[in-house]
Amino acid sequence: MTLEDLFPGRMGRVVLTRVAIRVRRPDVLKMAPTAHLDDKLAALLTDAKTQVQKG
Amino acid sequence: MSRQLPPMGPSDHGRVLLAKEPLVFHCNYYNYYLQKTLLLDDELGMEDVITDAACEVGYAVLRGATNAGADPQARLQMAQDIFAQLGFGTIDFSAVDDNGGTVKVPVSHYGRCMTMAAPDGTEFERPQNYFDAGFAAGALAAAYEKDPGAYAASIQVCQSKAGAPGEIQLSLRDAPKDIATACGQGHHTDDVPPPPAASNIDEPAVLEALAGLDLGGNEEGLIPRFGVMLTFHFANFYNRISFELHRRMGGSGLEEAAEMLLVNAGYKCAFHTFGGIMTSGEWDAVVKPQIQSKEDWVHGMVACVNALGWGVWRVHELTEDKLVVRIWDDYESTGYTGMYGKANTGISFLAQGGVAGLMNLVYHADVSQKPTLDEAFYEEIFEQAGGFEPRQTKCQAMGDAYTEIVAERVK
Repeated sequence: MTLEDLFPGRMGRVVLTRVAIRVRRPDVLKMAPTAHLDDKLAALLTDAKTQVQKG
Repeated sequence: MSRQLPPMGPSDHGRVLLAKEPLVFHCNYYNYYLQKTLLLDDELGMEDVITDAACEVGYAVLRGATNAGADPQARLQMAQDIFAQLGFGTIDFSAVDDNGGTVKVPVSHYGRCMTMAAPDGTEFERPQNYFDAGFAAGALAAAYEKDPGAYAASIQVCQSKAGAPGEIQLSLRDAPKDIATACGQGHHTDDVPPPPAASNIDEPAVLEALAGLDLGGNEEGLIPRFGVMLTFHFANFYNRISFELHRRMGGSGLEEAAEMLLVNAGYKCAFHTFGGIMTSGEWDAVVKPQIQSKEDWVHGMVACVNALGWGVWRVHELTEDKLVVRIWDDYESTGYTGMYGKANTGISFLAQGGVAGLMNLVYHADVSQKPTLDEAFYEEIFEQAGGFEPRQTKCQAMGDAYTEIVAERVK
């Protein structure tokens, strides 16, 4: 899985920005969209994405 | 509907003051996306910041009300009236005394209208009515002439989670909490803004027409207008919560990310509120008859912005690919300098989102065709190439004579 898979498009970039703040990981904003995510990071970002999509 | 309010009216520098507190119009979309940003990082303690900022302005506006009288009950009645008039909903202080008690909020902008702004099916993981809680605490302290931090506010129920009327428990603290003192109008420029840029829009006529609209809260204390739920909110509340987020993010490596989301909240605001205004019957009646060119859509909306309390906006340069707006006394700058002194970076986040959002509506989304301004259309426009991005090139809070925002089309 890549960042692009998890956060597609410009809307996805906004969600990724929220996720980065949520998990305090500025490094994810500097990763290449096509970079492969290891399982642990993919799980962290997927969980955080679910959280930030709540109100 | 008769409400007892503090002195309220237009002031210099594009302001409307309630007592000594500057007010700005903002919609439920801005309030939702701003608060969503503030609450992303659980460790920042932003719930308390929001509550305390509301306490700060609630206390300031009631203490500054020269016509509030000496009776605590009369003061609390005024607090209820302020809450309803400004679009926050209805709040009931009848079950509190100087020891505290339960405040009911039968209708809450933050409880009800945030759910309307959120994408369909959004589940709220926490209450949204921190403003209501803080306002209630500040108003009770002002009513009984106590220290602004005399009361602790605990949210018992929020409409956004329960659907039931909101409920706030106020209790007297053993020792008052430190609450910042509202800075009123903050620091303004001595410069006089130039007249509006040449266009076919008669800005004074637009402002006069808008001044004639009743934009006070209805029986439910809400302001449904232009397709959104408006609030006539406290500028110092927005400034405190936005800048405190920015300050607390310092050193995290995520400052730019937070700035981007603050700008994005302004962009959402522009899409819904500017879009709502430009597709409204009022626009058709007042502004549209003056429009003779695409540029006039921008000039017309800028004229409307100058009725929102956001400062004095002037179009400096406009092409189909670029808009430069200069702003005298943008409320973010005046508030920042009033609260923190000189800024070392641009802090006009809302203005950036507003300027880019305006260009996207006119030159990217073609608002003249009256599109449905829903989430699907937002996503469609946001994802399309050729949209506008903003940058801040001058900032009054940094010592510049005015704030300048440039929005350019991304090729």
